[in-house]
Amino acid sequence: MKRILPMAIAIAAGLIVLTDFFIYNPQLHALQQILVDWALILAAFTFILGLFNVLTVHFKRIKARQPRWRYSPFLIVAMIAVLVFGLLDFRGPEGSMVRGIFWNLIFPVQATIASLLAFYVASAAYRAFRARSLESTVVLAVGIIVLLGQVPVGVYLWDRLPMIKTWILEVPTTAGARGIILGVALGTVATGLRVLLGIDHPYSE
Amino acid sequence: MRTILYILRTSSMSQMQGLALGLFLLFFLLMTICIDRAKAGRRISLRSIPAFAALRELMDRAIESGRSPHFSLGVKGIEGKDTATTLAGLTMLEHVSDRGAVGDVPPMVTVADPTLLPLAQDALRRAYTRRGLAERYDPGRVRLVAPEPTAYATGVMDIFEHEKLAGNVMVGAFGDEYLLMGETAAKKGLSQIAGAADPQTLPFIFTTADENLVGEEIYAAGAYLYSWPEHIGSLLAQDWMRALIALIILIGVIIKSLY
Repeated sequence: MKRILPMAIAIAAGLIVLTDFFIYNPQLHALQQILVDWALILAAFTFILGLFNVLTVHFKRIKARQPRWRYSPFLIVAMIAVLVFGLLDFRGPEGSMVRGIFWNLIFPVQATIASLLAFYVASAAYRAFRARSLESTVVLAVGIIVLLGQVPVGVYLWDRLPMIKTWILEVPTTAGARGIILGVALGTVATGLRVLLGIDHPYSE
Repeated sequence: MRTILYILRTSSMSQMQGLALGLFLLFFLLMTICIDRAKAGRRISLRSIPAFAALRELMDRAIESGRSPHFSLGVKGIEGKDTATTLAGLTMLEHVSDRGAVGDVPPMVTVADPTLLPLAQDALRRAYTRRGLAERYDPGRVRLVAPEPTAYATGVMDIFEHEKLAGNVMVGAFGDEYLLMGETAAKKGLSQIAGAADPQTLPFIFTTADENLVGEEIYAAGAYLYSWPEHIGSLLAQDWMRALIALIILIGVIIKSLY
């Protein structure tokens, strides 16, 4: 019973949502909407679980005096402060304090970290472009052609470079990407079907 | 039957929906047949995917060294279009947890979406319970790092820098932030296995991971790691469907070119 009941609920809910995608029926659509709303509410509740998870991990770290435990009190205080600012303002996350924290602190820090990507790309490209094997050599050659075709100086080197670059991006690259997308789509449907058939049940034993 | 026919008559199904439903039902039929064949013990050979062999080796090394691997389930959860990708990651986590429970080297699991917290914790708990070691299960091995992808990547990079790990496994939905984590792990010399479904992320995986799972390969974990007949059957059905779709595309191209 412990195993069958969750499976029956999951299969029934999945079938209702799926049927609503293919067939429009007002009653079915209303039921589907209720189920989707419930899922969203449940997903929102998992943030409370997340809050307790972060608190547990960092309190344990402080208690056990684990390496670099001194950062944990800052994290806990900052997290609780943002939560309190959000709760005190009736506008919640739209309140001036929370918005101020996001716009002046969190977003600039995120932008700074994201800007580091350029350096990581250069470092990863160096590793990938080392001509160790036939595959790496092909990657290197194609990379150089696309790079030269992209920059203005490429036209001066050889006027056909931009055309070759466009062909590489539009024909072999798109064909490869579409092949991957097709495989992923089939894999997604297969995974969904296995859950619907009760073969996969990540929610129970 | 009368009710079904009534619903179909009043459903105003579009041509695209009808086509999708047809393909879906065909896939369902094929999958049922293929699963039956796999369950009946018909010999079905699977092509080699080195990443799955590498995962077994990584866990062997983890047990020998007494160090846990890191496992990332990506930056998405189970409430959007990336649910199947995340579920594929969970199947691999199940295997890593099973092997980790044997040697008491449970993976350090990091998630960005809190919907994955109970699922990942449950995967770990079940692995320990199956071995009769439920008392050793520690829910703190699963950590919510941050819900925002860049912040999550920063937290994971910190783990790579400061924790003693046996390796790194990352399977799920990732964006550009994957490179921040993958490159840091590569610089630290960690053995890496990574997989994603998004073609935009795959070049980053290709350049940083030792072994990679490209696109659909991530959905094959159940067939390769556990030899579950249902998963082997569904893989076979996927192959048949792919061949059929390729044939339809080819016929379409020929007809379009001729007329």
